[in-house]
Amino acid sequence: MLAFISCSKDESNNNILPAISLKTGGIYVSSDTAIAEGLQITIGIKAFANNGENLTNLLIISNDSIRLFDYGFNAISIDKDVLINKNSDSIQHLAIIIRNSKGLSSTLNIKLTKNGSAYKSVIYFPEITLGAQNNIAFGSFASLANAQVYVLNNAYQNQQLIDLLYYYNSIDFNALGSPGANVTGIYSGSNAPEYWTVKNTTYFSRNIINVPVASFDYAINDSLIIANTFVNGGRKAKSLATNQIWAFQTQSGKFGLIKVIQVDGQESGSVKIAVKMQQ
Amino acid sequence: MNKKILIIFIFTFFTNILNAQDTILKNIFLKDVIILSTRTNSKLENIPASIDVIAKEEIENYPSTNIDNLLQSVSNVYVNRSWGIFSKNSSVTMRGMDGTNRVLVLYNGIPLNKTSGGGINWYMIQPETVEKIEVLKGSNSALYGNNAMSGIINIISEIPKEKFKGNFKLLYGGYQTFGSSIHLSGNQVRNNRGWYWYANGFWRKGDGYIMVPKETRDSNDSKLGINEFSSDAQLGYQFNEKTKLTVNYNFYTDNRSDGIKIYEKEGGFQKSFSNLGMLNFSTIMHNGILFNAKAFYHYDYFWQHTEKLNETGDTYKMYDTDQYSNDMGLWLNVTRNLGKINKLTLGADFKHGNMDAEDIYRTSTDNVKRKGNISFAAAFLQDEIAIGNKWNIVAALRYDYAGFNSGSIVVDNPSYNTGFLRSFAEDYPSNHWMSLSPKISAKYNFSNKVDMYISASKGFMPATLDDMCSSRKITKGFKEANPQLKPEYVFTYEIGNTYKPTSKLMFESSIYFSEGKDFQYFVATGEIVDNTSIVLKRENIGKVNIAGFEISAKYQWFKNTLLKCNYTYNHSEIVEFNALNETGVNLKGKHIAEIPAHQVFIGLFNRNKWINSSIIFNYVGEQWVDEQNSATISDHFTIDLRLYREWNKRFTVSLDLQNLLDDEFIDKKGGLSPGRYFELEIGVKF
Repeated sequence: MLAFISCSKDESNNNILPAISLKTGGIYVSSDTAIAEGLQITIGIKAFANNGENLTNLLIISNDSIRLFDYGFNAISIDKDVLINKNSDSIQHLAIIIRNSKGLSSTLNIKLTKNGSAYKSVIYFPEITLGAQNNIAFGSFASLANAQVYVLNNAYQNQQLIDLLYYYNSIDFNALGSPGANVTGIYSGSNAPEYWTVKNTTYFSRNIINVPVASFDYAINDSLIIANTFVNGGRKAKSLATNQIWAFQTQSGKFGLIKVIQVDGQESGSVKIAVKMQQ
Repeated sequence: MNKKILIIFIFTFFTNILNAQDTILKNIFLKDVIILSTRTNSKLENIPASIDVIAKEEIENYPSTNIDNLLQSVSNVYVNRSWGIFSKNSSVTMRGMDGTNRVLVLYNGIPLNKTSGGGINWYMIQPETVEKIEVLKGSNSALYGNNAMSGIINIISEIPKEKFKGNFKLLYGGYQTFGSSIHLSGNQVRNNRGWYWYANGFWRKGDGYIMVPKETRDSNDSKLGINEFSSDAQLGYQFNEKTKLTVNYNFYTDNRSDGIKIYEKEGGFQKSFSNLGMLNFSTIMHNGILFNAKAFYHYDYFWQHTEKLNETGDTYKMYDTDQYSNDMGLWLNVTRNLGKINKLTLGADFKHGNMDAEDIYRTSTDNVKRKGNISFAAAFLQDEIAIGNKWNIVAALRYDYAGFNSGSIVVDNPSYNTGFLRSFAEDYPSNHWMSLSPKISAKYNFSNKVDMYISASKGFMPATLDDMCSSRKITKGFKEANPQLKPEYVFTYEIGNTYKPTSKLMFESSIYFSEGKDFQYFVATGEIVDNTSIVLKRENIGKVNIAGFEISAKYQWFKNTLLKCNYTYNHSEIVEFNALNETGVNLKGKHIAEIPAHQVFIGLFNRNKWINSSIIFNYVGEQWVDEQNSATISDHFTIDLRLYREWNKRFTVSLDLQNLLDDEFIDKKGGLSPGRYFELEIGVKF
C-alpha cells in the first residue's frame, strides 16, 4: 500500500584513473636508489586528473605500513616536492599514490637500499619548567634555541626567540602552544601574544606517534625524531598529561620530541617538560 | 523603519479589534476538547496534568514557517531554530532538560523520535494538515516509556469533514525564497460508513544567507541555501460508528548547503530522505472494550558532503557521511470501563530501531563504519478513576525492556584523519536494561472556576544508538562512543491549578521539581584527537535537580481577540558528579547547558471579517552554551506578525513577518540568526 521512495548516492560514472609521474634530474630521486640511513631525499611528484574526478589525496607509504606523507587537497593537478628520510631498513619500498575524489588511484614504486648511516646527535634539554598564565614563580614562555624561560614582559621584548608558551583554560586544559597559535584572552595586558609583531608558530602532533617514554629517554641521535616527523600538526598540544610524548616542529623547520614530566594545577599551575630536537 | 512597521501594525490590529463583527475564535478555552495523548480519549478538564492544546484556529493564525514554530506559544517549551527555515533541524526541549530526545514527540500517537539519535524531523509535517497539537508536561514513561522524560507533544492530523476541498498556494519570502503547496481532501462517509482522505504537497527553495558573523567571515563562507519537498497523504475508512482504519504516509527530502564552499562547486551540503508510514485502527467491541492498534515504519537516509580547511589554511579535508536508520513498531491497547468509577487501560508496545552509517574520506583513505540495533518491549496498565464530579485520579505502571545489540565501529585504511579511532574500533557487547515506571496523579475540582492537581511520576530513557555506537566529529569536538552508557531516570513531582474567574479569562500555573539520576551528559575525557578536537563522551554523570514553574493566562479581549501570555522559570543544576577523570574537571554545581532560565511569551490573535492578524512577542533569557558554563548565549527578544485575508471564500493572502525588529543573535554553534524574515503567500481555494 505504501510506496516508499528509495534513493542512491549522487556520484558520476567517471571511472578514469588519475595520471602520476616523477620529476627527474637535479635533486630528485625518481627510481631505485642506494642511500645512507637518515639521509634526506627529494621526490618530485606531478599528477593530473586526466579528465576524471578531481585529485584529492597524495600519499607516500613506506613498506606497506608507514604513511610518510599524506596530503589532502582538491584540484585537477598537483606538483609537489616531498622530502623523505631513509629509514634503518636495509631495503625500503616507497609507494607513491595519487587518489581522486571517487577513490580511484594510481601508484608508482621506488626501492631505497641502505648504504651506511647519516643520523646526527640531538639537542637535549632535560628539564624546562613553564608556569601557566597566573603562575608567579615560573614564566610561561620558552625559547628552544637555549631553553631560556621568559615571563610575559621579557618575552614581549624577545618575540623572535619564543617557540613555546604554556597556559590553562577550561577548553584546552593544560596546553602548550606558541605565539602563532592564536592564543587570545589568556595573558593580560598589552604585552599579550595577540599584540606581538613577531609570532613564531610551532606545530605539535601526538596522533601518528606512539613513542614509549623509554625510547625518548634512550634516544641519542635524531633517528627517533625523524621516524616521527609529521605533516598535519596542530598549533596546540592540549590536555597535557604526565608521560605523554609529543612530536613538534618549530617555525625554523626543526623537528623534535617533548616528554611531559609533570603537570600541576590549572591557571596558576606549571608543567615540566624534557625536549630532544634536531640540531 | 522597524518601529514604523510595528506602529502601523499595532494600529491596524486595534482597528480590527474595534471593528470585530461576526467571525468567531473557536475553542479558546478548550472546554470539551478530547485529549488523545492519554491513550484513552479523555476530556481535557478531567486530566490531572499540565496540558496545553494548540487548536486549529491558533495554527491558522500563527506566524509560522514550520510546525515547531507553533510550540513557542506553550509555556516551558523552548524551541531553538536559530537559523530560521535554513536550520538543519529544530531543537525542542521542555521543562529545563536539554536534548530533543528527552521530549517524546508523537504524530497521531506514533513516536517520531528516532532511536538512532532521539531527534525529530519537524520538516515532515506541514501545519496545513494539523488539526491540533497536544502538549503534556512532565515525565510520562508510565504510559509511553522511552523519551517521555520532560513531556509529550502529540501532533494530530486532521480528519477531513467536507465532501471535497482543496487549495493551491504560491509563496515568496526573504533571501530569495520561493515555494508552492497544494492540498486536497475529501470525506465520503455517509451513515457512518465510507472513505476520508487528504493529499498534500509542499516545495520551498531559498538562496539563504551567510551565517558567519561579518567580523569573522572569510572567502570560504557561503550561503545556507535550501531546496526541500514534502508530501503526505491520508486514507481512511470508517466501517461503522465504532470502527475506523486510517493509513498515513509522509515523505520529505531536502538539499541544504552547510555554509562552507572551498574547492567544491556546491560546497558542503546535506541531503536527506525520510519516509514514514503509519496505520491506526480503532474499534469498540460488543462488550464495550475499546481496542486500538498502531503500526509504523520510519526510514531515514542521510548524506552529508563536508569540506574543511583549518585556520592556517594548510590542511584540507573532504569527506562524506552516509547514514541509514530504521524504526518500526506495533503499539496495542484496550480500554474498558469497570463500573462507573474506573476506566482501565492495558497495553503492550514493541519497537525496533537500527542505524548503519559510514564516513568516507575523500582526501585520505579512511572509511569508518558504525552501526547498532536497539529493541524495546513494554507492557502497561492504567486506571483512570472518576469519583463524582470532584476527583479525577490516574494511576499507571509500565514495565520496559530495552536491548542493545550488533553495535560496532570499524575503521578501514586509517590515516592521520582517523588513526585515533583505532583505539575506539571494536564490536560492542550486547546489553539490556529494564525499568518499572509508575505514575500517580490526582485532580480536585473545587468549583467550575477552580481546580488543582498533584502528580508524581517517573521517566525512563535508554541511551541513543548514536551515543552508544558513534565515534565521530561533532560541533563541540569529537564524540567518543560509550556502549556502556546506562539509561537515565527522572522523578518528577508537581502541583498545578487552573483558575477561571470569568468566562473570558483563565489562569494556569504549575510548579515542579525533577530529580534526574544517571543523567546522560557530555564530559570531556581529557584526550584530544586529530590535534585539535577535544574528546567528549556521553556519561552517566550522577544527579541533576531541576526546579521551575510556569504560569500562563488566556483572555478573550473584545469579541474576536485572544490574548495569550506565559512566563517560564527553570533552574537546572548538576548536584552530584560521578564522572571525574584526569582532567580534574568537576561539573557539580554547574547549570545544564542550553536551558534559558527565563522565557516570556505574549501573543495577540484577532479574527475579523476584514483581515485576521496576530502579533507575537517572544523573550528567551540568557543560557549557558557549554557543559563547563564558560560561555553564554545572550538573551534575545523577537516580534513576529501575521496578516491574513480571504476574499469570497476563494482567494487568500497571508504575510508572515518573523523577527520584525531584526534582532540578530549568535547561537551555540557561533552562527548568526537570519534576522528579519518574511513569507508572502497567495492562494486559491476550490
